[in-house]
Amino acid sequence: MLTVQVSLFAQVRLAMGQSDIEVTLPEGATVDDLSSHLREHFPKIAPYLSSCRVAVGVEYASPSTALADGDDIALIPPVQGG
Amino acid sequence: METLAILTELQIEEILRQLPEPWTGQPDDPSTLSGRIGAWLDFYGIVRDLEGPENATIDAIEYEAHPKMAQYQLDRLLQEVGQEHGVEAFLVIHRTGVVPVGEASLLVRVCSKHRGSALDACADFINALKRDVPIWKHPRFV
Repeated sequence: MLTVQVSLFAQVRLAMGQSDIEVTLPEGATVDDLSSHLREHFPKIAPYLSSCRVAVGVEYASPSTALADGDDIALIPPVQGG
Repeated sequence: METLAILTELQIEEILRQLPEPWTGQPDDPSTLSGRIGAWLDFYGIVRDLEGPENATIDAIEYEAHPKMAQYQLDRLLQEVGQEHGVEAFLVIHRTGVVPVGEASLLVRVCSKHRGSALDACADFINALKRDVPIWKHPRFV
């Protein structure tokens, strides 16, 4: 098993009422697996997942990106800087 | 190429006074780049008093960021866009926290040999910032 920290921002953070969650997944899990887990276990996050990108560390990740134990993940809603 | 990306809750003018060379000069006195550049462009993004699809009145915007990732993405975009357009020096400051109406939330400064590359680099950088840099707005409605 691997455990990752998922940071939440903007509307996702407000919907959850907290700024991070911890998720445990099977070894070999990918970003896509994480999204499926969040959709199933965190109904307050689920409505936002389709519009969010996922970052591992400071880089955007693809659905096929493999996760490692201890990764810092961020759910990135559509950004609004400027 | 010199680049500098700053994500800050401090006032832009306070930061500008603290910046290392060559940014301690005034915008109309680019002495440290003398002879190398023909264009010096400053773009300020200002908080307006209307926000959202219904143009509701606000008195400020609170900017939230993923600080570490935003800093990394700003640095990356400065390098990529700067190299693409042959920029000589590139600076961005994006404030976080509460920015009142009428104040700048963003400064992009571009120095290059010719005006075309400075204007193109500034536009491309801001478009990329609005696509990739993890910063979000929370308007404060009146």
